[in-house]
Amino acid sequence: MRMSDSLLSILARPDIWQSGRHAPANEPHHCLPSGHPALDAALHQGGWPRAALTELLATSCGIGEMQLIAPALAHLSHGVQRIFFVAPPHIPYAPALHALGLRLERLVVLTPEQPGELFWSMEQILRSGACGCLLGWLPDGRGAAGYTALRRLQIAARHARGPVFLFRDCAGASLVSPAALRIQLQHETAGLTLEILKQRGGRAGQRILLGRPSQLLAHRVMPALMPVIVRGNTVKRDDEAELPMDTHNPPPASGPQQPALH
Amino acid sequence: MLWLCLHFTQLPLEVFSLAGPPDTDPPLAVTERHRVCAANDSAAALGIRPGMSASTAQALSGSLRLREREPAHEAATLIALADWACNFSSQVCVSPPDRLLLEIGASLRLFHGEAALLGVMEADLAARRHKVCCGLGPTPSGAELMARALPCNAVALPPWQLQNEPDAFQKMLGKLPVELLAAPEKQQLTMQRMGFTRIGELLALPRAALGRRFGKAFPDYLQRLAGHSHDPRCTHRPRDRFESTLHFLEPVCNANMLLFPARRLLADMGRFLERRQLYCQRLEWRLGVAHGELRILPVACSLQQHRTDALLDLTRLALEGLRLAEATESLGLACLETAALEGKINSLFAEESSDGGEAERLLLDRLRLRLGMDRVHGLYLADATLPEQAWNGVHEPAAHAGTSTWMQRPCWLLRQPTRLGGTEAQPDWNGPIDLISGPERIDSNWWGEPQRRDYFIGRHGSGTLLWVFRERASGEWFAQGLFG
Repeated sequence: MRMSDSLLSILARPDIWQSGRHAPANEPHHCLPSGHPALDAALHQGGWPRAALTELLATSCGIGEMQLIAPALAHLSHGVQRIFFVAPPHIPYAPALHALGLRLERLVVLTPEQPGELFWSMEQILRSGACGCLLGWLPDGRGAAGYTALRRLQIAARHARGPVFLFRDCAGASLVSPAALRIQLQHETAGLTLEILKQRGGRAGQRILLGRPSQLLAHRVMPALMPVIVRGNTVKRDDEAELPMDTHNPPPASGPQQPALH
Repeated sequence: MLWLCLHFTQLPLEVFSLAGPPDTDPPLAVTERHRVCAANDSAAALGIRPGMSASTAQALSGSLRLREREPAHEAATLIALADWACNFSSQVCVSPPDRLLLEIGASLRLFHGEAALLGVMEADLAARRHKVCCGLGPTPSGAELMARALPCNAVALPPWQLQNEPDAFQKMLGKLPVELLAAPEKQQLTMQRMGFTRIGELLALPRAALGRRFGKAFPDYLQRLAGHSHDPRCTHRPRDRFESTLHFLEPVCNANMLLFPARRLLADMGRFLERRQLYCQRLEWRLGVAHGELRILPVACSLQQHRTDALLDLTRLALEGLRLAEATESLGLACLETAALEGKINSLFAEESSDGGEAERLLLDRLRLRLGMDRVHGLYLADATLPEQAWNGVHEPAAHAGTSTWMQRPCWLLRQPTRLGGTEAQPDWNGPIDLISGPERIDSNWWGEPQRRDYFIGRHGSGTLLWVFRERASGEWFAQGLFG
């Protein structure tokens, strides 16, 4: 039986995929290596999808979500296009981002006041063609980010050259979303567990554990090392010596370490 | 020397109708001391004539709009037209209230002759919706006289110019009636009583005799007219800054209706800037509301060239945020900051960065205009010991100079350190926080309010890694950041 021409033309569209036929994997035009080999192996394209929404669902901020995307961001920040932070939950701290290898001059932070402005500015950024990567934090609550708003973003994201990360509450996991990739982040003692909820053109349901950087997971602080509280005028001279003073020490390395990305 | 006189006969009307949409032409008359001094074509079709009293005009038509004459607006419009006329001549003179004089003899070669030059000017004036009477003459006064002699809107070469004879102008001048002379009414009456009908008859008389009858200035005027003596005029100097205002016939309540006049003003500004090889960095819309009050709407633009459509887009965005509570009576545009256009070298091959810069600047302008200047910023590394001072928001992201510490720093900084509970050994924030790394002492700001803090990395029960510190003086715990 011959498929009609209109059906063939629909199937030729890049946003239509058939479950039996896999998209060409490991193409640099379609994906960006995440910098975590285990994650890249689980993603059928071999990295973060470009020009499409990636939803990262987490219960709270500060469980390692920036460590997850930092290698990709560091790579993108060495390109010509800007990286936009839209409505971040806290201040993106410049020294830490610099230490992660991001070029700060490529970053733009937006703090819109109203949810309407949030979606408007994300769409403007994506449609402008000047967006290397967008990180957007959706407001909490089930109804805050409707399917229509996300669908508009997904269409606008086709103009972007890099990945588009949307951070949202875990409550959104049960909602339908047009995002190309949805990953649920969960914290564990050893690090961060990623569960792929949806992957366009690929299998879902894989679980990956990413370890925290070892510096952050040092041993418990020894009680003996706890500095003595000095109150009022009774300053003890000898307790000044027991702590490393970092106020005027120069950094040992010449610059921050660049993550290896190819 | 060849002078061109542009006589804007409809200027009192045009200051009101220029801002309106192009096709509509509601009947309009302008009054001065309760007398109609000018009426447009639609009003003339209704029988409105100059010289009528305002009440008679009103009685003839209910739909007639009567406006008091605005000499200040006319003067401003004439100056703007003089700026425009500088496109065609290096010597432009303003002859108030409604005439411009251009020396076009020096421009003829550039524009390929009189006919071509007049054709370009006519098309330009028609696009700007000005009606004009033209006159050409070897002297400024002669050109003014010719503008009165020829029918309105006939932008064509006068007969004397076509005859190609050295004294053709003098011959034609001699045949013209004396009513065309710029003389007071009393002198005109005297001339008629004395039986003069043609200018040639006056030119033939001796100067002293004319001076005795008409005053000393009159023979001087005739001399200047015929080109026998010099006729110095003040040359108009183009303005350094662009400022223009359009006045509406009807007050405008809808912000969208401001876009049409806005486009016209922006196009004018584009021509102004193009001549000077400049581009606009900051402009200001001035919306005239009732009682002469102005509402200022600033628009910043970081595009490094002039683009009317991009500026109109930003204007639309600025107007969207504006609630027009009261009607707008005028729209003004002022270009506040300009910069010189830099030569751009286009690359032979299309590069990724060639158009990205412009799209990016336009995007940042749009975002700043809608969200506010302080809500769009870049990040900057500052040289400071205290963590909250070690970063800065900057307007224009640029390469930074600060050095970062090698100690662990959180990706997220709380806007204000949050006070925590708990004991001296273990802080508590809706659950105990286990300290897993530290301490790192930061002791700074001795010149102001001294800050002595011991920083730790703590793990909260929910899985969040926190950056907490204990203030040395009080022993209290604070959370300052999150390790994202």
